[in-house]
Amino acid sequence: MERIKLQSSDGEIFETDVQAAKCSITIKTMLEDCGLDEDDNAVVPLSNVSSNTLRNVIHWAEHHMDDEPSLDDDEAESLSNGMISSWDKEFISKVDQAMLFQLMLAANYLDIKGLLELTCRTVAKMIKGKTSAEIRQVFNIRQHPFDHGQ
Amino acid sequence: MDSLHIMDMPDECLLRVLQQLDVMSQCNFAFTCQRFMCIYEMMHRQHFRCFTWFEPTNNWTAQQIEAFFRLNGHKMRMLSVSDLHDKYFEQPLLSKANHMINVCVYLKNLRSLILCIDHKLPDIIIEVCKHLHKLENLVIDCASHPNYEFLVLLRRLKSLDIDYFVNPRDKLFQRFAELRPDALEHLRIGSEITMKQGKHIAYLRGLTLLNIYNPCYHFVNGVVLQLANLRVLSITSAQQLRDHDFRHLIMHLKYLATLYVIQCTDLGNDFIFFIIQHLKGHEMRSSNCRRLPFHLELSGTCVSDDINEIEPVNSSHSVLNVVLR
Repeated sequence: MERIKLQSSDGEIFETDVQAAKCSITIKTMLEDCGLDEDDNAVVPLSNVSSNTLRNVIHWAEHHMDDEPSLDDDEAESLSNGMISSWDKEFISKVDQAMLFQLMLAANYLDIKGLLELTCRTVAKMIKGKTSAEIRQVFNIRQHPFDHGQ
Repeated sequence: MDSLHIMDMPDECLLRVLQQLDVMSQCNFAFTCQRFMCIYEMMHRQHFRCFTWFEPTNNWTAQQIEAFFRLNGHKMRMLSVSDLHDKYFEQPLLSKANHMINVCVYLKNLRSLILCIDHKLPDIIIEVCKHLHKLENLVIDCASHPNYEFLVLLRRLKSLDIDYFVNPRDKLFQRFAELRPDALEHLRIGSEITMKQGKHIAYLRGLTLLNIYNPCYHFVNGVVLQLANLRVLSITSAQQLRDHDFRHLIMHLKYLATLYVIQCTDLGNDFIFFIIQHLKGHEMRSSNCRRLPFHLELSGTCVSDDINEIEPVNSSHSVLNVVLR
């Protein structure tokens, strides 16, 4: 199977499956547009993703590389109404809040729909059923509350 | 680098998070801080224009309802509120009336309101008149009769639908006749109306649509015939009226182009033939000012089922369109 090298912002190089890397639409486009997929020694630089984050992203992507690619937003929408798979649950429960946001940002930058969905839903679960004051506490939001009495 | 904060997330990510939340959690999210409020606004700018206050929202606390309407009330153009409990709710939802009283202050842009609330309706009416200055359409469907007089204060009110209007001392129509006779364009009264009330309606010269229930002969001749601008007339349960009452309506109401009649055994085929003759006569003298074909919809009359096949109805569809229900 074809391999590919990805370089994190702090210079660490990770090797993974091309198919796993292509979970990221950004990487997929980069490979196809630049013809990098023909060059075996090519290293794809990901200047916005730290090594810690990239390790997690690759871990997630290697598990999901055989998933059916979702065709359009409508389909992604319908998927998002379903449950989080137990593997994803386990995966996301092992990361702390800072890493959760790192992953969200990376998924957004790399355009990985499934991972973005997972992180957003995880954050949503942390918000659900909480008052504004509790939400501020959970995310350490230090903004003056509204004159609202909540 | 690793200590990322929720505030570092781009708007599109926060929007995705917001989409996963229920309505109430979204409100709490919005009230967390200024940025989240902006995200909420971004997502809901186009939403809640038409809002049905549906039953699950009854689980909201007073504070949650206040938060929701504080955030979204100003965007609402149409609101439908009901305290009728369905099979899932065995208790009448008395609390909803209190909530309605409290949220009127946020509904300043509302154009249409449908109220199906019995409890505390007098207080709700006062709040509506106090705050809903842009209200144009009001529908009230309840089994009590509060004082409706204050509705005359709603300066933009054009359309009024009251299902149960039974208090002979209510000064609503008297006030409209005295203060703003041109204001109302559409009026529906779902219950029988006395002449004491009805006589004031005769002065509401702006009326183009009138929908009444079981009117007496005097009401039709003393009130309806005075409404020269009437385009649409609907009479439910017209048992007290005779064929010639309807002929008078057709002859004198020059703009009338739509007539609905439910239950009038005195109306038969002859009435249909009369309308055709009358309309054609006007057409020939080109003195017709109504929209043709005249639309006539009947239910519970003696007009025969095959009326549309009978001459001259058969060949007169350009002037009269008859529908039997």
